[in-house]
Amino acid sequence: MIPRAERDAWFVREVLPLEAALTRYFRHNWRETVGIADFLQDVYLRVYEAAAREFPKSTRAFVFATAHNLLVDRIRREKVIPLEAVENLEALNIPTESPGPEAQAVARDELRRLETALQTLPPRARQAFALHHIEGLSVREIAQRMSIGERAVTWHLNEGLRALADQLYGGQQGPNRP
Amino acid sequence: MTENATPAEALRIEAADRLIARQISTDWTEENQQDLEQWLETPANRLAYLRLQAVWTRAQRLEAARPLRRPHSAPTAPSRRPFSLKFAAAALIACAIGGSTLYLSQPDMRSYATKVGERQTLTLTDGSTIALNTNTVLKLSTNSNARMAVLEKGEAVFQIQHDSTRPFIVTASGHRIIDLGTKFLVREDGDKLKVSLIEGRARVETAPGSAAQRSATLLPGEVVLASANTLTKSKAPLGKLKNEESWQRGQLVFEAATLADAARELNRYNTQKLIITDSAAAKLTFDATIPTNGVETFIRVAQQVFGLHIKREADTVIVSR
Repeated sequence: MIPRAERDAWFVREVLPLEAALTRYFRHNWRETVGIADFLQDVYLRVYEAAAREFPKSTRAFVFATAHNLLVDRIRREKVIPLEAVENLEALNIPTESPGPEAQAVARDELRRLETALQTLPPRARQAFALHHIEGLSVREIAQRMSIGERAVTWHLNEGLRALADQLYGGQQGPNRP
Repeated sequence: MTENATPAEALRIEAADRLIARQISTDWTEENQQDLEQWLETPANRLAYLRLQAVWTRAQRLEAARPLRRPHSAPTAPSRRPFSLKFAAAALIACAIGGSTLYLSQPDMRSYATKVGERQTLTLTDGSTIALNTNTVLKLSTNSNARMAVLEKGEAVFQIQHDSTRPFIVTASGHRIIDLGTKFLVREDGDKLKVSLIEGRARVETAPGSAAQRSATLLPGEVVLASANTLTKSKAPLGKLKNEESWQRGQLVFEAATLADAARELNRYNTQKLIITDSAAAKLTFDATIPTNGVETFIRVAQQVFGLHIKREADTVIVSR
């Protein structure tokens, strides 16, 4: 049994950086864009629980195999896509290299990435986020600066945090790799 | 505001709510903490939280990299120019990390170590200095994007020339200390880490990945104690912090210290170890300034001030009634 703290660290270090590739994989093989978050959540849950027994030799291969099985299950269950789509899916090359170029790309341009990602947030969320993380203002100070209530500040931080996560991990408009 | 969120999207909103509450709360209670931990027992909740926490932590680096630009809100002394030529001559450590300059990766690190009783001061090309105390191992890497040190064991005082384009990051016990224009002391003691801020400002972040990840910005006189999962901040008189760094002059300053504390401290610097076998004797307190190699001074205090019995053996000195 692998301790939870180690699995937590493994999840952040090795699984999360695959989110951009997983997102592309999902988009490519599922005709709807709604439900990406749910798909990711299912993949994460399965690999996290499997890691309680042991860590996979290749996280990347294991994550994509899991994603693949989930998609196949769903396609069969929902019968929304004709069978040839399943065959196509099964013929897909699942990226297997590890530890994955995303991790390196993230490290290389961490600051530039953060700044670029910040620029893509909705304006109010961006402002609240920057005031807190760059200027170190408290929620009360941000509320005064933006002339809004503290609850609104909290909401903008919430929005900003989620959008930033999608940018940084989901690669919503991240560097386009071929 | 939750326009037709799917279940996973709704969970992300809740996770963000809880994370932000945890991070910005000024009166976080034990009850809040238990509630959060209870919620984090559910794996789906936990994973959504870990994902956002990783982002929140990364976003905090924005501050280290691009600190306050508006002059009126800068709480520290104006930063000195990081690359002055007079320091270049005094360079002991060159930045020789090939062409690839990774921001937060672990490039080649050089290792510096002191033996028991030794001290060493490193001077970097940018004028920063790092004083290593007894029995310390520090790894260091600097390049044009980042300056990083890993305190593997022991204690060090960092006097950092702040450079907003090149944050100085110290990792110890898995936690991170990010300089925001600073002099600070880091001491690793078993699984506990102590960071004392002497001048300027720095940020401490607990180990990434721990669910209850915390960070704190330190001002002068503030001390953080971090274990694997906790971070507590307290305030110490600056005079006391000065005493804590007195080892740089080869001295240990004890104020109302117990004999046990003093013995433990001296044992860090000397191969001859003091052992106090009597629990009442261990609790006796005294004020003194003792050289770091002052086992004999300690023995004299024990004998003459407290009338204790001393028995010398090969590598140990037994102190008893």
